[in-house]
Amino acid sequence: MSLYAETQEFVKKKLPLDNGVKVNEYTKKFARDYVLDTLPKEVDKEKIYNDKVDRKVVIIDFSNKKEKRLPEKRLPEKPKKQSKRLSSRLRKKLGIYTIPKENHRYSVFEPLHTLWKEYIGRVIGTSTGSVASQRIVKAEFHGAFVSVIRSKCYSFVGKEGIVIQETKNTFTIISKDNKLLTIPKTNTLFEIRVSNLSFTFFGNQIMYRASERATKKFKPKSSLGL
Amino acid sequence: MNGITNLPGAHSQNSKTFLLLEELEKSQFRNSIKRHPFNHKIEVLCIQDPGTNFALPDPIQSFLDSSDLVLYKSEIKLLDFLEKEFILKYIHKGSFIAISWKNKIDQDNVVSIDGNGILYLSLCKDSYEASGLLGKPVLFSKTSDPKYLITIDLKSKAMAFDSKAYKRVKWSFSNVLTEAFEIIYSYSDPESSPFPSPLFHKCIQEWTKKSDILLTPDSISNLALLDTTENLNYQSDSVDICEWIGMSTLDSDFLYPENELRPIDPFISVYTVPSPHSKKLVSKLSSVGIISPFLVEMIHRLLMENFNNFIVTCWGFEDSPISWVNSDHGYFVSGENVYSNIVDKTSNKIFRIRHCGSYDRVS
Repeated sequence: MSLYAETQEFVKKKLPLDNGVKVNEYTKKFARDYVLDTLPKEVDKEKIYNDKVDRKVVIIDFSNKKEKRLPEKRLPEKPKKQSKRLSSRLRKKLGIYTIPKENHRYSVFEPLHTLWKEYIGRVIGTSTGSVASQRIVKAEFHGAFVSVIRSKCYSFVGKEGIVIQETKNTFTIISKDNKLLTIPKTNTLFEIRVSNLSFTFFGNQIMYRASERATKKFKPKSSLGL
Repeated sequence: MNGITNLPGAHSQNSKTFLLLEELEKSQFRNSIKRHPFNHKIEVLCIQDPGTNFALPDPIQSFLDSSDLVLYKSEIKLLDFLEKEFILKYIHKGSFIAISWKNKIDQDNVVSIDGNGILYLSLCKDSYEASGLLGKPVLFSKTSDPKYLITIDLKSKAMAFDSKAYKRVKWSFSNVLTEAFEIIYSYSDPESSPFPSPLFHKCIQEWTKKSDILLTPDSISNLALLDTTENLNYQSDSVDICEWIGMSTLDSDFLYPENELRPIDPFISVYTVPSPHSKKLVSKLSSVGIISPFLVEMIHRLLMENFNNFIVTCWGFEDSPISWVNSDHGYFVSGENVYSNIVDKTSNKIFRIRHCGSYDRVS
């Protein structure tokens, strides 16, 4: 018993494979003549055709050239989600943080100051000294009554009022004579009075937004100059 | 204690002496006297021939005895200088001069008023930043601890009693610069009566008088010998005069004729009176206190009327914020600001000498 299967009859007979594809007689003749013409003159063309080409599958369409890849089609870009924050130009144009002139009155902000006093009383509690300083430096200053003790610019010294707005670099305060003042934090020493306690802080050390200041860790430092 | 102490970085200028020889009639020495407000010592040397007996003429004697030469001392707060009555009575009229006493110019706050109603505040950095007043950084101050000079003209229109500037200064003196200064002051007004209030501590500035026969260089008695067109050694002769004036102030033994031949130990000094020199009767009048420019000018005038040859030397306060007007002043190693006027009526010449320390805008 043989291990291999028997060869099929058409292979034994060396008959061409009949896949059901009818080939044109002209095509047959053309293909034979084309191959014979292509072969070099020195060789026996008939012998090579009969041995190597006839009744053999020859892959004609083969190329070593690299195929050009077509550019991938770009999918249409999804529209960018617009930022939810307003730019500073828009803010100025819309006047969102501008306080109208009719509200430039100290009496309007006195209730805010009263609220702040209650708030800061709860923040400080009964603590004093460095503990109280650590708490107050992280507290909210909107509504606090601040006064400028020292400054490199002489015109800011002595200015005091309730803080209406606090930005990264400035305090906007309303003074008792109903003037809105913007005081830069740079090179300025401020004082806040809470009941019988007085806290002074260097503006250079709190150049943060109010929200950032609340989470910032402040290291205690010896007295600094402006 | 051993160790090396480095002095703070000094400016490249050293102390300087300015010399000027000019015609007596054309001289601007009176303006120069007015421009030096803070004098703490004055010395007058009257030079005469040895045969004469020295006697102060009556006008000079009565002037020296007058109550104008009074020094006052008290503790004053700056706010007192802004009182309406004070400004109208003593700043707008006459000559009120004040300077803080015992405060060092290089390290403390110093307050002064010159005779023209200008208040000078020389403040440390902390005091200046808290004062809320506009000033300029002093030319001579350490970079680590700068000083600032605030100038307030109490007579100007800007300091009218209802003006913003006046209110601002008043606020600053009431709330920030509240410390009391120990101040010495004097007031002189040719028209009015002497400074009233009996509450302040009052000292009469006494004059010391002394007459001696001293060896005097001929160039002092006859300033024509110093003429720059003829005398090639003008510079060394003028320096000799400066030295002689200094030696006379110290009452040095080198000037006495009896010591001329007696050798003095050269280890102490090798000074000799420059030749040519001769014996002259030198009468010295000196006083220490607070000497106003008005007083110095009066003394010059009285001496001109009664003497042909005299020397007037004025020493300024070493801790004053200004030496001459508009001239920043510091102490550093020596806050000297001295001037001498040598007058020779015979040759119609005046020789003006001015010494400035290294921390002085003039130098």
